[in-house]
Amino acid sequence: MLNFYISHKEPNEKIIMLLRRHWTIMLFKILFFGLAAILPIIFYFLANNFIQTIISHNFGNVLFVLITSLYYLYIWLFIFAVFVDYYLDVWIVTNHRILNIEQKGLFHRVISEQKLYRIQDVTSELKGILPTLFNYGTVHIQTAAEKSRFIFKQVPDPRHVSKKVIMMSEQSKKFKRIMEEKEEITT
Amino acid sequence: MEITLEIFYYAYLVMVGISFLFSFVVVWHLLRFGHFNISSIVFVCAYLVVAISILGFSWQIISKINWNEPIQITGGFQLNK
Repeated sequence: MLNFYISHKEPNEKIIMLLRRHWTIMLFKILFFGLAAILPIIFYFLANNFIQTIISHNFGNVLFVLITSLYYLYIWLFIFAVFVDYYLDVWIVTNHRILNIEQKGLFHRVISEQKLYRIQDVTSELKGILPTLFNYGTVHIQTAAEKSRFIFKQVPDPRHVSKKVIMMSEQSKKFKRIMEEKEEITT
Repeated sequence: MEITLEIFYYAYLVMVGISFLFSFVVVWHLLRFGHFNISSIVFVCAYLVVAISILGFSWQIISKINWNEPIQITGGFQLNK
């Protein structure tokens, strides 16, 4: 069961889809830092004599230890920050609305939402070699109210996501129509 | 001019302090917006374990260094054996 905290949750609101970017996006970023972590080790073996000369001096040894320690500490911090950035970028489709929660840097968070019945057009886009290989892409959602579209970026299986959003939107529109008709009858 | 190795030690501590600050901000973000659930706690613990291991391993070497050892700066660093 999907469980995620949503602010001002409506009664009977259930999460239908909780989407994050495809895992390969995070993996490539982490691989970059992984490569950065291996570089000093490669350098150590390539320039062994040079490093041995530096380490043999007390001052050189001290600098070597301090810089290496900081280097790996910060690489680990960057890897964690990349992961948190990935983890906090979420697109949620409930049976009432769609939510777009994006963490843009450490101190910039954007949350936007739109009712499902306001959705006019849903487009899925799968562009490039890697997105085709791993089946991830972008889903553009055009709503009635806004000029700018909701964009689910680099989500897995964009075609399935767009179909599901269209289906949920149709259901929501039907439900709204029924409720409006009921209201008209009662008045 | 003569300085001691202590300067590098303090510079190191400042950089470690900055990394602590950023770590705190990132962890706070994860727990505040990713919500206080088991997976968030596991991620934070994994991060802290590795970070503390790096610092602990470094400390084993750093603690053996004589920080009061002077370095001669005469137009450049003079390395003391």
